[in-house]
Amino acid sequence: MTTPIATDAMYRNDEGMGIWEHRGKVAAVGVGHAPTARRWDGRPETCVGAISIQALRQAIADAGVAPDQIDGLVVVRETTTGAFWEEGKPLPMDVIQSFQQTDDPLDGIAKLSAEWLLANMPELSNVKFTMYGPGCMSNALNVTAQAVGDGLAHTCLVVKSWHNFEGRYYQGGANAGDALPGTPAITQLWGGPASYSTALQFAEYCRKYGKTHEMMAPFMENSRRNGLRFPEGYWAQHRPEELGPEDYLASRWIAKPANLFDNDIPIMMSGAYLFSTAERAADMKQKPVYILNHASSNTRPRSLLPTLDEVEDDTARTGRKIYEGAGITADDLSFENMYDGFSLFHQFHLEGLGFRGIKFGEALDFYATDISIEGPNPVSPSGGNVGSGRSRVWMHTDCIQQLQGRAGERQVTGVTPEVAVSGGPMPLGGNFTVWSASPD
Amino acid sequence: MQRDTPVQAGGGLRGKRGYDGALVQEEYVTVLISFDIDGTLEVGDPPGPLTMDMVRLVRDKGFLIGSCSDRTLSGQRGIWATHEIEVDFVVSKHMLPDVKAKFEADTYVHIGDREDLDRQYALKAGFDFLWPDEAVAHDYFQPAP
Repeated sequence: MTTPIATDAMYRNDEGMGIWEHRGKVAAVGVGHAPTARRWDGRPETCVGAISIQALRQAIADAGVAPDQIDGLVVVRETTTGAFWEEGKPLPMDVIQSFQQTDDPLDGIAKLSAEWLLANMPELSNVKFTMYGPGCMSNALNVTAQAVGDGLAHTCLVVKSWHNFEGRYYQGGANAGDALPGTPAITQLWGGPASYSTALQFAEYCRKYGKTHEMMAPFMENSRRNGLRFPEGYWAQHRPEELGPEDYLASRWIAKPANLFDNDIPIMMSGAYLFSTAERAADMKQKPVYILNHASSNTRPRSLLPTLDEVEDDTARTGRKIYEGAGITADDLSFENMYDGFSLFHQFHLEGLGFRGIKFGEALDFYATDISIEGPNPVSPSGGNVGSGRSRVWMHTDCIQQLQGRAGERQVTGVTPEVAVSGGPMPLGGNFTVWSASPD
Repeated sequence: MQRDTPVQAGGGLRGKRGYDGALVQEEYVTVLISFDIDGTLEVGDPPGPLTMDMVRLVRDKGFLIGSCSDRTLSGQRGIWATHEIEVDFVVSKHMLPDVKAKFEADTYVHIGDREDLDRQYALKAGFDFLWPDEAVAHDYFQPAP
């Protein structure tokens, strides 16, 4: 079979769509994560395909489902944003020959197809539905939820993986050439570091509301603290280092006012989930976490970079879409778990949600209050990419685990975990999922 | 762990020559070495060729030593504490000028593995620069005769 890329029909992009038609009828049950690493060490068993298989098998086992009961697979085909196989570099034939291959020799090494996974996971003998959710787990989750709701699959796996090679991030691939077509010629080839558009928005945010970069320190410290309680994450597994205010503020600028720690660390990782219908999920090994809604932003900025005004308009719109389709309000959120990789846009997501009633320009003051997992207003209990490395996955795993009551040392204790939302990546152009401990 | 003040501001004897090139006296010189961590020290990620024993060696020679890395300051201190090496400074990557302003030395050297983040920063701050492989072979890291 040839796997299609999800079409617009799989997403909820607009306001006014009403309650999601499958609200409470789709559930996440199993979670799987492979061990992380800073970079690929060149071995077959640690390539991005191998760790994806590992994560998927964990998710299957975690849900207690027989592999032959699985009939769907949603995959994020892209496994990097900035670590590309150097042109002309010899192919690692020993690795390639360790697996069933597809037409692309770098499948399973620098990218990931559904066909490669199915060829190397013979136990998934009854998968009839496959689809790509581009870019992020946030996107793929929307696709998976809609697919299960629509009956395209009743028991569906979803996986997002990241590879990281030696060398500098964002220096290879198209960026290594002398020319790029269209807008990327300005934004990538001749542009600043990847975080510079967020840095510009944050600088304007500080000017508009009278805030400072130093006010980010409590959020950063809290995020790393939570990340160090995330045993699946990079920092917890490899470098259990706190990120106190002195550490954060002493770091060098990457794109002022974005410093090194405002940029997430690229890693090798894979995360997978098993989704099913609410009826089937009830009999599985873990407590079902029900999907109340999914929502997306497909807003395009007027010019090359989104302005702060555009960001605020769109995050507010996203918040309204999230709540409308789920039939909830901001008051229903037990905690907040939006994306953070770049940390300087986390407050845009937070303010767009109106979490705990905060308005635009108030998030950095909110960070100075008790935002810990023990307090009444947990912010990013997952720790996000700041806490566990670049994945865009942690916040989703955390929502599931928190609502299942198995987040371990990270479990929120100041609130009862009942309803949560997670998603990203960017304030313009993200995908979001609303999770609930109950289907109602 | 970090030394509050240099326990011995020195680095070794340097020959001083007269106008005719003849050795007329020896003077005590102060050497300050700044170590990058990742790709430079054996405890880095990736590991580098400089061992912690080599660091101890230059410390015992009386060099001023410390680390200059993208790792957090607390993380750098943690590495030194784990290996029970007292250092004079830990700074972030862009702070070599601060080190030079704080410590008086005859020679300032930074050892690192990156052209952009180590060599360029070092030269701009007025430090000499050594690649890790060059450093391993340098007299600094040879036992005193």
